[in-house]
Amino acid sequence: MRRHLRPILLVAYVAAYGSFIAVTVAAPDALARPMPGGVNVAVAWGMGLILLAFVTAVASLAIPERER
Amino acid sequence: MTAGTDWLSIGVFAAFTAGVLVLSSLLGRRAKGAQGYFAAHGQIGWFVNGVAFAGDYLSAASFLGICGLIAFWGYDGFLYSIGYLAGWIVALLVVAEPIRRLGKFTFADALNARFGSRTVTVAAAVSTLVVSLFYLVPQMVGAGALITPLLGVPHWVGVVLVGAVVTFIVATAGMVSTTWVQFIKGGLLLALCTLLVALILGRGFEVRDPGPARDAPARDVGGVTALPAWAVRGEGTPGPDGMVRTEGASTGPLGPIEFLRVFSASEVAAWRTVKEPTADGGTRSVARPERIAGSELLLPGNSPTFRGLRSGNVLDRVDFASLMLALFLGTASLPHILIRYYTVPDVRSARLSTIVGIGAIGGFYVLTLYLGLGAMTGGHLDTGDSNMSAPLLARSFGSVLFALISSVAFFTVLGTVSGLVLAGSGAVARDLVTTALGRTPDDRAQVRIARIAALALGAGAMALGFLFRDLNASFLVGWAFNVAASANLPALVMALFWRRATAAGVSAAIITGLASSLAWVLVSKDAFEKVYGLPAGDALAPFSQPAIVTIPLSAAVGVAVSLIGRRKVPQTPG
Repeated sequence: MRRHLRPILLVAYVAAYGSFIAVTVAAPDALARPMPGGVNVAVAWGMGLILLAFVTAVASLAIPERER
Repeated sequence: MTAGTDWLSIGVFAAFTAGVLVLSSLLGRRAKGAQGYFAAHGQIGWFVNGVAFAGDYLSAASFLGICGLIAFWGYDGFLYSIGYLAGWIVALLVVAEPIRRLGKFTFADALNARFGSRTVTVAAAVSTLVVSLFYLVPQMVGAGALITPLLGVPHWVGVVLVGAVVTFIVATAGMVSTTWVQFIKGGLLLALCTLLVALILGRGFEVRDPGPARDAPARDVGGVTALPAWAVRGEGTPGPDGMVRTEGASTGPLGPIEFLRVFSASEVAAWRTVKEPTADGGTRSVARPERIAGSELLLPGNSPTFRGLRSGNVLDRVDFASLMLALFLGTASLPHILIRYYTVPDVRSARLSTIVGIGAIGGFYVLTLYLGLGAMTGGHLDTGDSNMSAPLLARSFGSVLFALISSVAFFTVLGTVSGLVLAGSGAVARDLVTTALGRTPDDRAQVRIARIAALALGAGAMALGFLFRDLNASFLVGWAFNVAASANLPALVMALFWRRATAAGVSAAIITGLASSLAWVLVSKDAFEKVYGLPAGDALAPFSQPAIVTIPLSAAVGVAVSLIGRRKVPQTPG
């Protein structure tokens, strides 16, 4: 699992970022829907992508180093 | 601005600038030879390097440009924040470790590690220079925009001042002083912006009457025109729609989520500049308040750049997707970011410093949404200069904070420009001159050439700062990302990860990406309208952001040339 963590993290982030762009382009009205807490999907998704970047960065510490 | 405020601002600004110059002089003694000048001897700790990443990356475009875009157009500016940060995932997971393993001083070192080809070196060096110059323009524009209200001097003085100080920093101590300038700048920027956001949340929202339209540019404008009754504390009579429009009605302090919720439920005066006919048959620019629901401003598609998202025009949507692709792939293609990986001792430090950088940069980009919305509702916008939104917001909290924020913003420009000039001068001294001479000059000669190149780049940056003074900084950086991602990323991925890549293929990918993206940008609608002052309808490119076409084109040409002219090359150690 740890050996494959790098592509898994990359694909997961690309999926989250790519789907955000796809929804913005194809169905922007969906971004106006309210979320719990009172913010809309656009704000929650944008903040979520920033948070996910940090989580991904921390998770990348588990990737084995190929060379020292 | 009062005379007293002038002196305070000048004093703080002078103290910052003097501090930077003294630091550079002291640190300059530590840098020995080419290894010290270009890579700080590879001895920078991962935490310092991580914060320096933030100092390098959080440029005038991020601070002044994004805050300005959010202040005038809402969520559209935040799209840049999302894209700029996302690019760091590519840097972390794709390029950080192989770059640290293979490179030494410049972008070309890593790209050419397998090939030892002069063509790759020259192509990478030219790409580094072009991308660095493209990226320098918005920094110089931001410097000029800052200096006028701060010191009361013309725009060109700011441009010249940044050029002179940066040239001194880079020429005296290279990467050592550049790293520490960026570290201090990154830390100060984060600390002061956090303070500013705390003050914005503490102030909450207050209802203001925007007043009538006025001649543009209009100063001290912006504000909330109606608040939801449930958010108002104290006096305020709600209308039939449940909104309070009483002048002075306010929310009091708000939490971070509550701030966004109240903004979304409020009505805001967004100021738009329009041309109106005059009695004598001419036109005049008028700034006019438009009452817009906050919920509308927290959606994409309000700004002229992204308005196409709400139209039925497919090309406008492709343009947006192309920009977001460029932001995602551009970060890992910026030479001034890549060379920072050479300053840490090992691969593990490269990874750790990227994580620290992502934490610092991500934290800052969260703050940009609050800074921009705080500026939009604070009542101190200048419709003639979106880049000044954040410093003017700071002024609404007092002249001390204005002086500090403006000085840090100026420091922000210094840090980024230093990195760019260093990357460019390294490309000249290490790559172009070595190739031209057919041998590597000795250490002292390399540093001497780099210093001369730094002077020339500084002068070039100043000239470009004058030429493009009226464009938004973040908008210009979007183009730089397009060019960087198109020219460098396909070549980098081929060189690092594809065994069958050849020197000719990598060179072809760089040249194709660079030429096609530059040509596209120069004949785009935005260039016609905003740079040349020509009708947008005359533009030759179907949309303005080329990455969605030019990145695949660069990769396809690189792969095709490699396969056609294939020869055996050793496998990459990555």
